[in-house]
Amino acid sequence: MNIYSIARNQLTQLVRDKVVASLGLLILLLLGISIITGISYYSEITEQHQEAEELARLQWEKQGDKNPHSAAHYGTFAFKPVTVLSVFEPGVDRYTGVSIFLEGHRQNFAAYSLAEDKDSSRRFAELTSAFIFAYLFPLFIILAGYRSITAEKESGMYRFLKSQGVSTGQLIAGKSLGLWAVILLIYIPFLVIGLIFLFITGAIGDSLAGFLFMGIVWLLYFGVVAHITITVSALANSSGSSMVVLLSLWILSTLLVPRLITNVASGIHPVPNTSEFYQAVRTDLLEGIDGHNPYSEHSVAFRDSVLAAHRVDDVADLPFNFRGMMLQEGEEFEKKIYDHHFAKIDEIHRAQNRLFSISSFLSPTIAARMSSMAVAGTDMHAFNHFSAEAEAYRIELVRELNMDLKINAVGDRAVGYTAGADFFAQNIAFTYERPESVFVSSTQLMPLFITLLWFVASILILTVAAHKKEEI
Amino acid sequence: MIDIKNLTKSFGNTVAVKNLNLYVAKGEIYCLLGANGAGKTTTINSLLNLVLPEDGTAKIDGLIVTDEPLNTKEKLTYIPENLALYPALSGVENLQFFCGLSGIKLSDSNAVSNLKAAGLQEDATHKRVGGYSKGMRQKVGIALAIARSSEVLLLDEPTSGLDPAASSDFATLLTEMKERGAAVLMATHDLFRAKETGTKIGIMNRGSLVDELNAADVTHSDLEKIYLNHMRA
Repeated sequence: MNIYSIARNQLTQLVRDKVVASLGLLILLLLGISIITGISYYSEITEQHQEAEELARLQWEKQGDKNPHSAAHYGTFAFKPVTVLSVFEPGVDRYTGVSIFLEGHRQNFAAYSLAEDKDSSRRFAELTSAFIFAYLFPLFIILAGYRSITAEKESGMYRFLKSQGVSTGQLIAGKSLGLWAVILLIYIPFLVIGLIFLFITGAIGDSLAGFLFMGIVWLLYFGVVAHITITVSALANSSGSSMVVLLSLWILSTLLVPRLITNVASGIHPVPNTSEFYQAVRTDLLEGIDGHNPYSEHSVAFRDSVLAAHRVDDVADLPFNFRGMMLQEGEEFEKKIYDHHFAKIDEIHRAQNRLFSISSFLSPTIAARMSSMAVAGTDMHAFNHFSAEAEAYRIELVRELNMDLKINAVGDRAVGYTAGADFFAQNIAFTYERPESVFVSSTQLMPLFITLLWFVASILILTVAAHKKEEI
Repeated sequence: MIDIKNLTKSFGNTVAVKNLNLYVAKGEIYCLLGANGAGKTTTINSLLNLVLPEDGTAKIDGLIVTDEPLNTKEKLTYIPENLALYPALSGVENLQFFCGLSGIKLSDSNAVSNLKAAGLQEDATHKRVGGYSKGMRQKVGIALAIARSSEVLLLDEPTSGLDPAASSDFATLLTEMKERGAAVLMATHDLFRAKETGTKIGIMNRGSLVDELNAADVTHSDLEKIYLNHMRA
C-alpha cells in the first residue's frame, strides 16, 4: 500500500514538475520526428532499391547475345533490402553499404553506404528512435529521478515519512515505480505508434517479434538507468552530488566507453585497407589457376591432367569446351582464395565484435544498442548474412555461365560462342530473404544476455542500497 | 499513553539523554522545555524509533517502540518544526497521501473537512502547498492527526517561527486535540506557550529531566525563574 501510494505521489509530482514535463514532451516530439523521418527515409530507400534491383535485372536479361563469360565480367548487383525495423534502429546499415557488385573472378566489398550522402535530409534522418533511446532518454530519466530520495532528505520529508511508518525500502521501491510510470508514459505511445506503423505497412507478421524484442531491450535499458538513478539518489548526500555522479555515469556509458572501445578494438584488431587486402589476394591468386591465362604453370598442369584423364592430346578433342572448364576451375580456386581472405576480415570483425560485447559489461548503452541492432536486423551479423547470400549467388551464377560455355561451346560452336537473351533471362535471380528467426547468429544473444544482466544487477544494487540506508 | 523509563542515549562521548523518566497521560499536553542540545529532540526521536536507546524503554500505549515500531507509529502523528509537505500537491492531496500511508482512504470532502477542522481556510485546501505559510503547513499536520485519529502527538518545536496569531491558533488546535483524548508531547522553547497550553511542563538540561511542574500551579514569571535557574545551574 505504502509503495503504491509513494509511486503514485512520485508520478503526480513529476508530471506537475515543469522541467520534467517539458523535457518529457520534448522527448515525445523528438520521437515523433524520428519516426516520421525514419518512415520517409525507409520508403524512399525501399523504392530506390526496388527500382535499382529491377533495372539491374533488366540490364542482365537484355544484355543481348554475348559469350557467357563476358556476361560474368559484365556483372550484376545484389541489393540489401532495408528492414522495416530500421525505421527505429538503422544500426550499421548506413555505413556498411547497401549493394554488392557481383562479377566473375572477384568477390567485392559492399559499396554505396548511405553515410556517403551528405545532404541535410540524410543528416536529419540520423535522429533515430534508437539514438534518442540510447542517449537522450537516459538524460531525461536522470533529470526526472536524481532528486527522488535526496529531495526527501533535504526537505525533512524522509524523516517525516519514517515517522509515518514508511521504511527506506518502501520509499525506494515507490520512487522507482513512480519513475517507471513516467518512463512508460512516454514509451507506451511510442510502442503503440510503432505497432500501428507495422500494421499499416503489412510488416506486422514478419517484424512483430523483432519489434517486441526491441521494445523489451529498451525497456530493460531504461530500467537499468532508472534503478541506478534511484540508487545514486538514495546514497548521495545532496541533490547536487547525485546529479554530478549520474551525469558522470551517463558520459562514461554513452560517450567514453564506446569511444574508448572503438579505438582499442581497431588498435588490437586492425582491419587492412582495401588496397592491402586486394594485394594479398593477388599474391595468393598467383599460386593457382588463372582462368584467363592458359600458359601459366598451373593452367598447363591442369590442362595436361584433363587431357590425360580423357586420353586425348588436344583440348579440341575433348567432348566439352575446355576453356569453360578452366574458367570454372579458376573460379573455384579464386573462391577459395577470396573465402580465405574474407574469412580473415570476418574474423577481425568478429574479434572486434567480441570486444564490444565484453565491453557491454562496462556500458549498458553498448549492450542495449547491440541488442537493439541485432533484433532489428541492422547489425554486422545481419549484414554478413546478406554478404554470404550474395556471394553464394555470385558463385552459382558464374558456375551457371561457365557450365553453359563448357557444355555448349563445343565443335563448330566453339569459336565465337554466344548465349542469347533467353539464356540470360532464365539465369537465377538474386532474392534476399532474411532468416525467419529474430537472431541470425547465436553470438547476437550475448549483448542481450548482458542487457538482462545489467537489469538484474541494477535491481540488486537498488536492493542493497535500500538495506544499507535502512540500517542507518 | 507515552511512557519513557530510564531512557539513555549517547552520540559518541556526548550523552544526549540520561536516565529519562517521563509519562504523558491521555488528554494531557506535556511541554518539554530546554535549551538547544538539552535532549528534547532525541527524546522525541526515541519515541519515533529514529534513534535506538542504549538503555531504558520508550512505550506508546503500552507498546515498546523498538519492539513494535510500525504499531506504535500507527498510533501517533509527528509534527516537526518545519513540516515537510509536497509543494506540487495541494493540501487535500498531501493529506490524502499521508493518510494513504496508514491505509486510510480519504475522499476529497473528508480531506477538506479535516483540513477545515484544523483551521485551514476552505479556499486554501485545493491550492498547492508550495504557496502555504508555515502556520498553514502546521495545520495540515494537525489535520493529519485528526484524520488518523492519532492517540499521540509528538511535536518538535512546532510554533517556532510562527507569528503570534498563528501560534495562538495552533495552541487552540492542540487544546482541541487534548480534549479529544490525545496525549501530546511538545518540545518547545516557548515558555509562554508552554504555560498557556500545557498541562504538565518538564525541564530538561544536559540530557536529564531536571524538573517537572503542573502548568496550572505556576505563573509565567515563576516558570521563567525556575527555567533560568535550571539553565544556569
